[in-house]
Amino acid sequence: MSSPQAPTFEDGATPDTLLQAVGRHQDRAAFARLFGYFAPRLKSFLMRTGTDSGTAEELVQEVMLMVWRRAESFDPTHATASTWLFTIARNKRIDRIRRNRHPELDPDDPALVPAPPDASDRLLELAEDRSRLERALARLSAEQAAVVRLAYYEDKPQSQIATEQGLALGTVKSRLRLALERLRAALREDV
Amino acid sequence: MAPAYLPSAYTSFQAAPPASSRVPTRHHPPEDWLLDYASGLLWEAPSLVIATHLALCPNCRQQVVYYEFLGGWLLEQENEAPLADTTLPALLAQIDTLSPATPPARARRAACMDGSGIGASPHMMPIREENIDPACILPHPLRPLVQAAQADGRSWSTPKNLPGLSRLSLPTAGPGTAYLICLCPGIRVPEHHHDNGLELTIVLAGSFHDPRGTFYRGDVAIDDASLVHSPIAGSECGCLCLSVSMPPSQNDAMLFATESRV
Repeated sequence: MSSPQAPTFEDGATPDTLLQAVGRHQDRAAFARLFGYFAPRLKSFLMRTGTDSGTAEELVQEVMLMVWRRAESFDPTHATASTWLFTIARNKRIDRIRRNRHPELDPDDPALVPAPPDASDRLLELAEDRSRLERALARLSAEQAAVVRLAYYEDKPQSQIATEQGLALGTVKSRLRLALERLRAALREDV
Repeated sequence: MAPAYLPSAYTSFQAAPPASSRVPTRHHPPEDWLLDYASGLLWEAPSLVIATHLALCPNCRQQVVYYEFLGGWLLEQENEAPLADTTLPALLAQIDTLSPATPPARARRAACMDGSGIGASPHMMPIREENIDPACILPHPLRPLVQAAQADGRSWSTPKNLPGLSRLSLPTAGPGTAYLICLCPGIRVPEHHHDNGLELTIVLAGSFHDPRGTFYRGDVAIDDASLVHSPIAGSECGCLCLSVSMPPSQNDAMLFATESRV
């Protein structure tokens, strides 16, 4: 069901199917393939904010260990494997490098207010249309794309980005807002 | 019977109102902060306000799901930084020594409580009638944090000059202070401002009002140096809220946990 641009291996496996194999069958071969795909990317992601190579590798091991231990709880109708790994890496980085904590929601929380019954499962649609997201990102202006990446990777609040780039804070905020708006609009378009 | 973690003044509160009379949330956190929460930039104290709001606001929750999805997509686009050849074998050896995995439900709870998380925010879980606990005022992750605070010996206290207010301090990492605050009906908080700092407040039960309007369960108020205010708790039920104070800084920089500051 993935679009052609989704990361797909020769035999048709995807990160989602590999992660499910780990969760259901403790499939070590699937885990090794997941490692091969994600570990180098995780390391690069973790190093973008100045973490040294050795620490980044330690964190990658911790993230992948958590992937193994929690794989049973991965639900492909609620998240893609990449999203799931992104949140684990984010929380590990927060915990280990910044000595901070990331408060998380509990899916079984009886106090959680549910979405209205007629709301469509946007995430499932998004996962099935990666190509739309890629085309939408390609259509962003260079400044907008740079701002989106900065928001996730450079680890700076928008106020600092504004100062460093000699821009008004309002300019940075509106570029980011516009970029994200255009992405959302592009995702809603029919192919 | 009031839950043990709330003060005796709680008995004046309604439990969470039935869905038909629930006032839709109107005061949301800025969208920027939802992205900052999703990308992991906020310190724990302001994150706690955001996360509590997300539990009560499906629309903002959907936004965060989108931002986390974008984070995952960006991860896929990353360059590949090479790792030492020994990394995978060492990892597989470690896996061999692990005891069998805990069942999923317990693993989820454990993951949520130690803050390490398990993945994208849930947004479509149906609530079954038998799961609703009328005394369940505090969403996760606030509830375990409050229980941990009390297990740790913290207790409700009342300032001498304000007998209608009780508060409980909550342990959070990094700068900022977080309090659960219980206001008796009609109590007016003395006029105050926040120097150059920020105060974030989310209502959990009852209501309060100030010149901007009335704030109900799930509503978030953000007060900065420009606002001198004196909020008044609702006259029927008072107000239970989570309030976070962030110290003064330039451009809200103290909200954000960046590596240069650790």
